[in-house]
Amino acid sequence: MIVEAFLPIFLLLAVIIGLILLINKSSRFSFGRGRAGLWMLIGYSCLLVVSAVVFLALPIGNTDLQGKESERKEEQTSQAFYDAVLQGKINEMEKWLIHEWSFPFNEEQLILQVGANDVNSINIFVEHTDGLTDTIEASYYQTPLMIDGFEVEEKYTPAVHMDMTTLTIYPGETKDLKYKMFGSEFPFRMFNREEGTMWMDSIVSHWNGSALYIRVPEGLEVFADQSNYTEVDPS
Amino acid sequence: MSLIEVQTSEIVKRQIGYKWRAYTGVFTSLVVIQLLGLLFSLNGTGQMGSGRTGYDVKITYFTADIIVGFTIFWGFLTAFLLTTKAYREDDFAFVTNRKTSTLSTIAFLFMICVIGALTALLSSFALKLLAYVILPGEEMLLIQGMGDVGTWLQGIFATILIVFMFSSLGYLAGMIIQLNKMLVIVLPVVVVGLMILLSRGGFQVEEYFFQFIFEENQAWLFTLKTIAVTTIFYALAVLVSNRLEVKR
Repeated sequence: MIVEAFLPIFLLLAVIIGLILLINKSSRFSFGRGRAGLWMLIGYSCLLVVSAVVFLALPIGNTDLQGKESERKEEQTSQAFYDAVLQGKINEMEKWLIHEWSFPFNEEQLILQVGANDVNSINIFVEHTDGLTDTIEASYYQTPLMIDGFEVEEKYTPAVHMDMTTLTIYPGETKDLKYKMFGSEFPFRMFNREEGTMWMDSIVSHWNGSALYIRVPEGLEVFADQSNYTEVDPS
Repeated sequence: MSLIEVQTSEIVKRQIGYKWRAYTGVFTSLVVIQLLGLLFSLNGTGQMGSGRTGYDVKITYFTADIIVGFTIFWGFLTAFLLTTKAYREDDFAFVTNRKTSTLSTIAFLFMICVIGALTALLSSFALKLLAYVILPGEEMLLIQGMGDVGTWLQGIFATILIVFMFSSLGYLAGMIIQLNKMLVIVLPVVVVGLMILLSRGGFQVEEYFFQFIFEENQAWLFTLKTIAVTTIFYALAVLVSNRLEVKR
């Protein structure tokens, strides 16, 4: 533990000492002196040029950071999404549908149990409708998660189970997404500080809307913590 | 007394040629430090974790920032070590005086700083290629826009100026230390002590310095500032070296 804490300092010291030994003329260390140093530089430069050519020839498209512009579009989408959800406009929400569940149900009371989710809670909306009898329908909607303007293809769904009169909702399996991002060096970024050019700026969109929309028959009593869900009345 | 009139520019040119051939150890150290920087950068220059409903996003960021940083440090240390007696006395193999010796060293430093800056920026491709080919596990690759030719040229020019500016700082520090060996200990203590004292009084010199240089987003102002700082440091080094001559 102590060694780990001091490792960066040791490494830095080793680098400094190594450099002094290599550059200092009076040191007895003679590695890379004479023409060897020059050849080493020539060889290294050739290697760098080759790697630059190979990298630029790779079929990877350069993409400018979409940044704020994309963020604005996603904010609008997210607002439209929540407007549709709160007004119960199911037709408008169709394009964001991820998964549907249907449970036969002929009891008079439904207990809604929401599993603990420490960071990102699932937004639950409940609608009482005349259109359903002896059935409960749950649909999970989510606007696409955008990373640097790209839509993430992997879709997340919460876990929804019906047991007797209890509908249990758990966060489900979290999708672990790992990405590499190749950026430009700080001297290039210095004179280009407009919005969206710094990589930390909104690469992962803050505006992805999600909702678990539960439709239950009219007159069914729903028991749950009021803070866990929102009642929707399309009329 | 010789009747041959020797031109200063001619001597400086010859000394640069000599230094280019003799001080090849600086190239070895440049390659070594950049390879080390490359190795450290493979772990990513930065990481960002982000949580959304149902998603855990981890983005590892790759740039040659560490390599550029190491190169800046190399520029500082190389200039510092070029002021040592062993290097300075080499110049006396030629017809020389303090002025030509300093001018040729500064010119040589500028040349190696250009090489250092260019290789540091080129190593960015090697790093990205290695990260692309070797490092497994990531599903998608995002590439931040490289910008146009103008941005590229500005970036290259800025890197050269930064490395050269830090070499001037190293050269000045080296010259001051040549006045008296005790200054190897005294100078860092005084500089760091002063910085601490001033920061307690609410004046953080290092922060102002970095803000003054690195937070400048106008290319022409940045150029002006770095050239001014570099000139001041080299001018001070020349003044100190003149004093060194009297002492010898």
